[in-house]
Amino acid sequence: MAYKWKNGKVIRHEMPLLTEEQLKELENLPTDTYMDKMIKKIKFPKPVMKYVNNDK
Amino acid sequence: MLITINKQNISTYIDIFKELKYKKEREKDLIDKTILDIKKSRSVAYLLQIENKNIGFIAISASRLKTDINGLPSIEIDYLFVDKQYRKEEFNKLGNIKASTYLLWFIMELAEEWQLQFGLKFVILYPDMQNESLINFYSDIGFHKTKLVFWDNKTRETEYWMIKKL
Repeated sequence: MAYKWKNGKVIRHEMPLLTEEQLKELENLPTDTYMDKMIKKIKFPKPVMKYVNNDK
Repeated sequence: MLITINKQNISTYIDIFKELKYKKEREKDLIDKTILDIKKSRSVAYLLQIENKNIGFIAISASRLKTDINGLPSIEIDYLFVDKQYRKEEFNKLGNIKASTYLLWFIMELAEEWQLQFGLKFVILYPDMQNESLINFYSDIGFHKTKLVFWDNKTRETEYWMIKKL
């Protein structure tokens, strides 16, 4: 679900349906892109979950 | 530090979200919408803090890449926001990259983990306002620009979505 700006306000917007041909094309996309290579060079911290007061 | 913000702890972080500085009024609306969706368990956000400063966040939700008869598990990037005073800054602590790049790459790494654990297939996003420079940016880093045509109240609409295969 994405957000879309429509008629002066933000609405939630569901992704429209794909055709079967589009889905097949997407399944065959390459994965070894610039971003994939760069991500391997960065060390990401593990996200932490913080709870406060009665939220536990 | 990245802090996971979800339904359980959002009440603690609402003030932080509201103190983030934005450029345009609609960015405030998008932050408010994100808070609401976290409260309703529809989204999870990761807040980036560096030296006790709140830099920005990325919000994601579970999604499916669907056709009439098929559906593949995916995650959708709902909103990526960086406080306006830090948008151009490259952070030494992040390996000299911008906060927006870091948050995006973090989600891609997380998605790869979920690919192995849960069979996640794609990361999806809707470029805000269908902005051409945003579309070009995501294309350059490996997202595929996908044209989708649909009917909305008897009007034929066309949208471009950015899709990255894992």
